[in-house]
Amino acid sequence: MLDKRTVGFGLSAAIVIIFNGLLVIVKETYQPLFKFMAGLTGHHWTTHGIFDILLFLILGFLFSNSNWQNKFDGAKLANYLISSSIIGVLLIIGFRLVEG
Amino acid sequence: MNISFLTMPHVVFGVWGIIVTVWLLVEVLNASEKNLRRMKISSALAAVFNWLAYILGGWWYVKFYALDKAKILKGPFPAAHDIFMETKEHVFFILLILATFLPILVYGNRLWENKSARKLAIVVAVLMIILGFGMEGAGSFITQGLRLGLGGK
Repeated sequence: MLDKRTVGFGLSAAIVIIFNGLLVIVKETYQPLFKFMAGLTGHHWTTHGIFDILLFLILGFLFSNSNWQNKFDGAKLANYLISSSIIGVLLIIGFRLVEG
Repeated sequence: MNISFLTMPHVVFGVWGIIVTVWLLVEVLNASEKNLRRMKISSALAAVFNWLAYILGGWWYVKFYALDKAKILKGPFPAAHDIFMETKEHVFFILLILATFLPILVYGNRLWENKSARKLAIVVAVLMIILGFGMEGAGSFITQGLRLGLGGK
């Protein structure tokens, strides 16, 4: 069995990886969000990173205090992370290729 | 000093991040109570090196990259920015999240007797190594784009 924090932060990582890819598409296609993010820290990319890290920490601590420890083993969590990483990378590369 | 040299620590820490992750992978594949300390050290170093690559590379990107970006876009290989840099700067966050998760996994579980945790550690390390090489490869395309933008000499 995995410890609570591993399950919590592992799930959080899988979600944030997808969120990261979606945020790229949304901020690049919706200028008000892009400008808002750029205005927060001076650069949209800096804000993007802060959003990712904060969401990872918040979800990680929240999920660590849930009762999901028995529902996730290493193989299941590994599959989630592999899938989310592939989707996360494809979202970003796909968007860049389409946008050119 | 040419400001391009200021990117070097970012590249070096990125490479060290890959190297210590390979080290961790080897330790996990041979996990026992005896190499627990080495697994902890290598996972912590993987996180530290990737964070240093992020902070130093991020600082350079925000402060200086606009100059290089203009040169790349005027050159014959604008995809170096449009595709490779735009992809690299965001895919890197996946690597950073996994690098932050890795020590949580290694410190929180008895890897030598927990096959489930060991499998997860192997997957996370392999993902990080693949992404790390991807970052290095994308970086070389960006450098090439800049070189061509400067006249290709």
